[in-house]
Amino acid sequence: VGDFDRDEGPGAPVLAEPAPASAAAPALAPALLTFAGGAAGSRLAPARAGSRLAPAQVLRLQRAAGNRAVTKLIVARDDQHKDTHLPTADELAKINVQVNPTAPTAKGGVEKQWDGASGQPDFNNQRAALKAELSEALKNHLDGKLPWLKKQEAAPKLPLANFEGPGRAAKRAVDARYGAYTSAAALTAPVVHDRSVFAFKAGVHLKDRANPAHFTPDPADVADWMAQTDVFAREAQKRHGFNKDRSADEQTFLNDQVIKPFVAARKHDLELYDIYGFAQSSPGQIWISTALASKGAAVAGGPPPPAERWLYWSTWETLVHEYIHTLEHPAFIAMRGGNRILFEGFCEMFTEEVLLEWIPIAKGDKNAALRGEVEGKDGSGNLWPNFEEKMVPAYNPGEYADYVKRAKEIRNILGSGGENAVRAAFFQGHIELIGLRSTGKIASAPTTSAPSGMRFHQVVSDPSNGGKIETADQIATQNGVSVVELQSANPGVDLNALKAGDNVLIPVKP
Amino acid sequence: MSDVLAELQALAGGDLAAWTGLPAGLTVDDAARALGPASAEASAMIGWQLSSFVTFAATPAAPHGIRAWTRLHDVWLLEIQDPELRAPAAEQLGTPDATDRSGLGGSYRQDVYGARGLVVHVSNITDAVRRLYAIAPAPAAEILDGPLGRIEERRVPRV
Repeated sequence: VGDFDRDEGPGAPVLAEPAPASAAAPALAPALLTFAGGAAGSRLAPARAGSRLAPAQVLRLQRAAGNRAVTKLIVARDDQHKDTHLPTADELAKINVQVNPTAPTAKGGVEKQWDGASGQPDFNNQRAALKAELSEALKNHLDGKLPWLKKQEAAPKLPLANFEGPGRAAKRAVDARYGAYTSAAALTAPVVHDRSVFAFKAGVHLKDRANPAHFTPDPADVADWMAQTDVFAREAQKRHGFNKDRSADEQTFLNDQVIKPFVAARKHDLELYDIYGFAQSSPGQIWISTALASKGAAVAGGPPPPAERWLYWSTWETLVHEYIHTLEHPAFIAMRGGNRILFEGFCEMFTEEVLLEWIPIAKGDKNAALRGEVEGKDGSGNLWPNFEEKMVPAYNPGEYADYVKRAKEIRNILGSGGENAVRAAFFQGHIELIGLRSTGKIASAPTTSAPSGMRFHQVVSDPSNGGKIETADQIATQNGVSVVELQSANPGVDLNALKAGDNVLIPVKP
Repeated sequence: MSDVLAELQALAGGDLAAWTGLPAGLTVDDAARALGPASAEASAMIGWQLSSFVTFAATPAAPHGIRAWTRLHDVWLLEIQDPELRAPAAEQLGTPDATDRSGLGGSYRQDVYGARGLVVHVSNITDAVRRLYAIAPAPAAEILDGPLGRIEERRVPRV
């Protein structure tokens, strides 16, 4: 993990050390129980009061076990699970409504049939009418876009590598906020490896739709997209009771009578539309057009035109979302399946947190490191002049707005520990803290409670690649206690032999 | 191993009929013997999960190259975008074990040939193959329940 620029960053968080391979708590525990020393100069949170160990004892331990190892064993860290709890029956019911929103109530009545279906009165004429209406809608749609598309085709193209800076900046901003959570998560070696080699690279995660080596346009798919989204095409289908997803007959009609003839007549124009009219994203990567047709032309040696700078900032915002996707814990992935609220809603909720922290800083031009990374610099390594606030787009959840709303509602239902619960679920796989089972179903309300001054921690595993159980150090780190304190709260429990689903007790500190 | 290399070369040439599934334990070095030198390793998301991969050079039948997704250097998935097949997929492979919606867009479907370890995303309009995935043979339902059932791309309008 890394943070942006610790001197300038907005309250740069304290980041936890990477998890060790193993913890040797039981052997050292008796000697360490009285330690209270801080970790001066370390990035770890200060130790909490309550136990004492003489400096000479600490030095002896450091010599014997190494400074990092000793620090991990005896120094408590920020409590990442503070105020979390297993949701109550009332909370579970409310969460269930958000995770599984009820389908819209049926309005009743009989579904309208396609008036062009065989057997319908005058079906041949209705088919001909729908074909004409759809073809007209597609033609008008494409004709309306074409002048802009041709300008894009003729415009200069930006080097794709220019977008790696926004990618690095996005990764840094996300790691600064959530790095402590992800680094304390149980992950299998392949996942740790895959994350370690991840970076937004031109030609790998950032692809140019205008580059034939990166992208092959599909005129038929664009035409189909137009038929499904153009407002006049949709109205025509509604009027005729047409639904291409309902029957093979309707799909064949649309493909053979409308799409194929249109593609044959307008293939090149549709290719232009596919290349320049869309971006495309899948988790962790984007395909963009780097063409930039704008009024403000670049001056040799001068700053990029405002539209170009806006594009870099816009890409930075998109890549924050895409990078967060790569940090989703495998247990959360396995649980959520295709649930868009948990998949995109949670991802966008964290995106919003990052961007609402950083966009005001960016707009206020308060972080030179961030701006230099996103916009690039001049030949002398200086920031480009004439920065304007409007070059940084305002935050907008776009198509994810409803998913985010529900994700935030789940967070709010869980009260003061809600923020930590959603983070622990998404980044560490602690789905029990948001009331969900590994199947994605809602959990049952807890029937037992922890002793006074304690809370339960359910041991999590990364279920991918053969599995990996949380270590004692990871559990301690997540809960803001030392391994020694963890062992002390669970006498007789072998912390090196935990299984997924086991409960261990965590001493809760005021 | 020579059979595997021959199958890999056939796959890279757009010949699907010879493919019998990705063998367990195939390493990047093994694949490189059939496909040429691999790129440096990177990682990306595939079917909602992060995975490492290397890329082998483009061929006439694999115009964007062949991406080999790896798990600690073993290849678990081969991916070819916009493959130029020697003959249409249905002609080479026959009837698929299962067909499902494709996450690549509304005009595509995915055909699963579980016993052969192949999944092809095909245009419903042109029958062109948009994406080809080669994996270890498995029941179609099992394949669709894993990462390959979650391949997804979103089209985002700019104008």
